[in-house]
Amino acid sequence: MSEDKVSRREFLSKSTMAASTVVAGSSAATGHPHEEGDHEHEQSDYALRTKALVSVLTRKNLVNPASMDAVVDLYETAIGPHIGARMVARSWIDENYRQRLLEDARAVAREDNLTGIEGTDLVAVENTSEVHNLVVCTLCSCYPWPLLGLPPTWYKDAAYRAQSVIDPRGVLKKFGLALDDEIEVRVWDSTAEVRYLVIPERPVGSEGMSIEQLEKLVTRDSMVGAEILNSSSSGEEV
Amino acid sequence: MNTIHDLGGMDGFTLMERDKGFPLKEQWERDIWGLALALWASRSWPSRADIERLPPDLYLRMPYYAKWLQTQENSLVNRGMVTREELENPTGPMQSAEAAGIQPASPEAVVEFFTSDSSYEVTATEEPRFSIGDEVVVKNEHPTWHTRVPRYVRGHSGVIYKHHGMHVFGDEVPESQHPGPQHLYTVMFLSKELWGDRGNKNDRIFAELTEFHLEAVS
Repeated sequence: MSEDKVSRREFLSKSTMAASTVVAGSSAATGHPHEEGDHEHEQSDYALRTKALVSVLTRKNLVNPASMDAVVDLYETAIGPHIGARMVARSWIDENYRQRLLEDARAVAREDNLTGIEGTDLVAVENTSEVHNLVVCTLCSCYPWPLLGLPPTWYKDAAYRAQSVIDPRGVLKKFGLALDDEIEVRVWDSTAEVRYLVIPERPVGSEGMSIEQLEKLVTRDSMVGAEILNSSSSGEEV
Repeated sequence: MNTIHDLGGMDGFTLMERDKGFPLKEQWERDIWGLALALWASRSWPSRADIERLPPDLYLRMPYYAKWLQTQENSLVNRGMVTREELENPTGPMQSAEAAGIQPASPEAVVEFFTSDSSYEVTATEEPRFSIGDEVVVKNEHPTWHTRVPRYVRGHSGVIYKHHGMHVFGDEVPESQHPGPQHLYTVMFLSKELWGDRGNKNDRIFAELTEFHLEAVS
């Protein structure tokens, strides 16, 4: 480790303590923990601190490292947007299922064994030619984990959280969605433990496709309301 | 508390491009996220208030998972489960953490925990005060603790759109003032009601709010 890095690390840890004093509520914020810029140094500081924390907790038998890997693997492979995509595709071809989803998405998820942390209390809303839905969590990063996995960075970013409630049309325009002025925009701020699934409109040109083909058209961002689908879009890359 | 995490309606930020793919990009992000969830499954979790109490400038500057790292460190130190000295010298001497009473969750237990039914609804012990279509006003309260009421709806009127039954109350109020489970509603606000001239006549904003935070319009 270079001398520079050691001194940075000491600086950082002092600032961390300063921040924790603030957390304890006894003093005002002091200084900045990071100098401006130098993304790589910041990343290596976070990596070092994470490594230290994992190492200490493992030595104290407070965490099982295999459990850390198991939960990352769970949300990287088993749980993710492909689950929501399957529900959306089914709702496009099965009107009865669509109605049940809109009436009580939690009951449908329970029947299909799709419950989980951060999203058992589920509500589904549908985009139509008259209504466009957009989901946000202005206070934090609430997101329907059991159906979509982990929230993307843009969803957790300050700008999206700040602007989507006051200027949803501006946000959607920057995301490439040009909405007609007459369309009603509904913004759902996930302030409690209810989580939202947007059922995007079925793309023009997808008539006659199988449910497997339809699932592949559904992108993660379309199920938050941040994207409109077309018959050549692909959910594969999400 | 009225701090920077309550972002709804603020100007001046630049929207980023939508990123694709699995959100945990760096190895340390995978590790801190995995660590936080493994601890969560062992019922050890910093409160939302821990993140909200980060100084506002830090909150805005830190990457998302760095906030998780920082609040885990603070929370574990504040609860006496680790010390700053141990984090500085992770191969050095360790104090016993047996007193914490935490059993590390096994991989199977962690997967079970995150895929189990985790509804926040509880059996209703009283009738709801409001019905669908009722006009309500959000109380104009500014608590110093973690609340689920964003500033941008406080004092504004809306309409009860949906009733979710009685839910665990999410505000971290002092024990003596805790109201217990609350009827939870989705309240619909007109964009013009919240944002005046900047609102759009065709747009609506919905938020989940509890009976504790709502008043009837007489």
